[in-house]
Amino acid sequence: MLLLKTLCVLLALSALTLLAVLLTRRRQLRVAGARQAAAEQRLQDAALSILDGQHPGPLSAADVRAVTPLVARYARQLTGEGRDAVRDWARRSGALATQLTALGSIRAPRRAEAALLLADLAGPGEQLQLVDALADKDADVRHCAARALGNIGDWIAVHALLHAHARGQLPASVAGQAVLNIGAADSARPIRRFASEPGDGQLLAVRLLAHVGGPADAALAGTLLDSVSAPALLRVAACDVLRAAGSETHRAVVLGALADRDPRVRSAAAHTAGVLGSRQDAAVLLPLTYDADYQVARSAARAVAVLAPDTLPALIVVPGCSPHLIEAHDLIGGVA
Amino acid sequence: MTWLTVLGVAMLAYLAVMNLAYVTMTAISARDLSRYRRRMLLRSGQEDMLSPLTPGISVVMPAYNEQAGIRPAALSLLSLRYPAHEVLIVNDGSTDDTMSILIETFDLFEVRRVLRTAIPYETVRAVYASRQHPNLFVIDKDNGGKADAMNAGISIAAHPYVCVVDADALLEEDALLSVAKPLIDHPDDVAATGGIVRIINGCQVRHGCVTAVGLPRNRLAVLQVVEYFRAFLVGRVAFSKIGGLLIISGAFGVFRRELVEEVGGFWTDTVGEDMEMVIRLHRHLAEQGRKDRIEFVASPVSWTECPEDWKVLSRQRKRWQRGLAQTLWRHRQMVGRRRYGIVGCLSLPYFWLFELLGPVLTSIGYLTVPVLWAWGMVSIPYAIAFYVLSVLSGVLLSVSALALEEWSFRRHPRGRDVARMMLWSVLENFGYRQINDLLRVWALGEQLAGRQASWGVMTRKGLGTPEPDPPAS
Repeated sequence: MLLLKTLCVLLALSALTLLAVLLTRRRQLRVAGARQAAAEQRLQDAALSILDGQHPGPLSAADVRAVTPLVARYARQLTGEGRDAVRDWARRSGALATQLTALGSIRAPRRAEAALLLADLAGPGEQLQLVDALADKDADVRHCAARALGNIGDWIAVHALLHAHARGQLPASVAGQAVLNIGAADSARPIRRFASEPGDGQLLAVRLLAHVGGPADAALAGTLLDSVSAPALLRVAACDVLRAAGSETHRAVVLGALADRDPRVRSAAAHTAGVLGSRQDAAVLLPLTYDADYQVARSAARAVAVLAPDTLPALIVVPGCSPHLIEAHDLIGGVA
Repeated sequence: MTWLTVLGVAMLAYLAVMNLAYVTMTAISARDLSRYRRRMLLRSGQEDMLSPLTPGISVVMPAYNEQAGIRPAALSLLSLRYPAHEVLIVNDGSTDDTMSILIETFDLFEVRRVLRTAIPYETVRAVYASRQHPNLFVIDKDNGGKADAMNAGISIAAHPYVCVVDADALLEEDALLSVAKPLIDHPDDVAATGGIVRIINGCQVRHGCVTAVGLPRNRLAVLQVVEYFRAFLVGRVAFSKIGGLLIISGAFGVFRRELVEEVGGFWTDTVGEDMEMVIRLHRHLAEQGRKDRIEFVASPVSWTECPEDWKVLSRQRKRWQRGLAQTLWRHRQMVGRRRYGIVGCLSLPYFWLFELLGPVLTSIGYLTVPVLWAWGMVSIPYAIAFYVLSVLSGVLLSVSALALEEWSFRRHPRGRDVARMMLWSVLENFGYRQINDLLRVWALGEQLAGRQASWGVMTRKGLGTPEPDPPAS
């Protein structure tokens, strides 16, 4: 009985404590929110003058701390001179130094927050610290640092980003988008180096080439597609590169891949043939529309519909014709 | 030691273990949600939205007699923020105007599509494409139930991932992007993800979007709001964290299509096909020695209407309990087997002990204590103390769930709403929970008696009822 009573008291006290915490937190957040709104209201003019490249007037250290996130938020929408003005202010006001120091904090949330702010305040000069942060033990810090490097847009970071991905420190989505943010002109060369070396970063590098590469990359993609020992996903990515940058000279490799053992490669090759191929290639693709793999047959039928659309009406009335051809006729041939 | 003492100690031990499990889950959830909250502040979905590396998702929505809400539901899916998604609405042999509303609203025309044959489904009568939305397809098929409709949708999906949603659900604009985040970041390691389901009753809906979050006036609905917090913010977060998540709600979940096909699609002979699919995936992955994770993501929201009368609620609860029973029974061989890891050794025993048999044991308690008291075999102070203990443990759990919601998301901005939820989280212990337990016992009885389970009819107000525009000033 005593045990029951004690438990009851304990549970009641816990519930009451939780309720008290809940109410206190709600009040605390309301007060903090109001305070933040008031500070932003008060410092909004100063933030706008910083974006315009003008002197915001004297700001106390506390004001600089309060205005920094606001300026960073606004800076996210800017490029060119506005962005330079923000970086310049961050350097002069000490906001940049504060965040760089915070990047070495023992608290992971503080480090991540600093990396996040540096995405909008830092310039190429601060890249080294951010590259170091790519090896941070906290995933959020690494992700924010990658985003910051992408925003800074200097090609030097490309190698570090791809390397961090290869080491398993950044997911392909995060490293890849940061590299894409840096831009095609600057990032293509280091990406090519990764794309041509077998290793953990090769697949992402080849996938990126499809977006930032040019005709010069088609030769590497052709070689990868032709290499039967290369992993299937890598060869699929090579097809993506060829679709984006390939030319008629790569047709033979692509048509050769239509007979690959892996259905993913066959499907990607059929898709690519639809882009690079010519009218005569439709005849090569036609048997593939009966492939046992749904995706392969579908890609092949669509490629036929793109390469020789005028042949579809005759093809689909042939008894036993591939249903995928009929689908391609309805969807691409334009029943609509 | 009399048999009564043994019974009393056993009941106390059961209550203690159950509460220990709840407290542990709450602690795990609190820790995980706190990290998740920080991550939400740091990461924006903008990168994934812009990235050409983000994988495509086919959104499958089964619809049966959904004429009241099909239009806003379809529009909400079409307006989801996601770089590459298609919407597949499966009309599961509706007998109302669902199909004609779809044809008229979206200017549909019939196309001949090829459906995969890896998983079975009822006969597809026709497939339609839209002249207005190139990423919308409607599959018109014979009635076969929700699971069958999902299987048909999956069989036509073009993308590597499928997201299943209910026709009475409204997804928030960023919901798909958020729920897919683990798949985007770790495509080789994550097999499925699920988002949170929140109750839309009492919220303001405009043009297929929730514009203001509020609490319903109906008391039964408020009780369900608190219940949903408990289920999602405590249970699912904790089980997901330890790698033992057993439920991804059929109202909002994303699965790797290839895996769903490998395991044979959704099981059509149950009314709990969502949970069954997740357990089957766990089983399949474990038997193949694969380590793919199944995760719950706490921020993406699917809004759904909850029943506001006892009749519909009891039907829903009985259906859930029967689905649970069918699923647990089907996978009973997994219980306690080390081969199935956390799922076999922790999650499934928990569900057997507290979710399936819990209501039976507590109902026996409700019924026997008064009888024993009448026979003079139990002292009144003991019975009262025991009842107070079980009520307080329920209150503590509900308040913890509310605290987690407040700490992490604060979706209910009005203090009055939070106060009402607190009040009802106490009051639910006096009647509501007991009735719920009895309903679940009843459902188990029906299941054992072999009575056919059915989905029944959920009376809906319709999510898209357009509010009048505010008067011009």
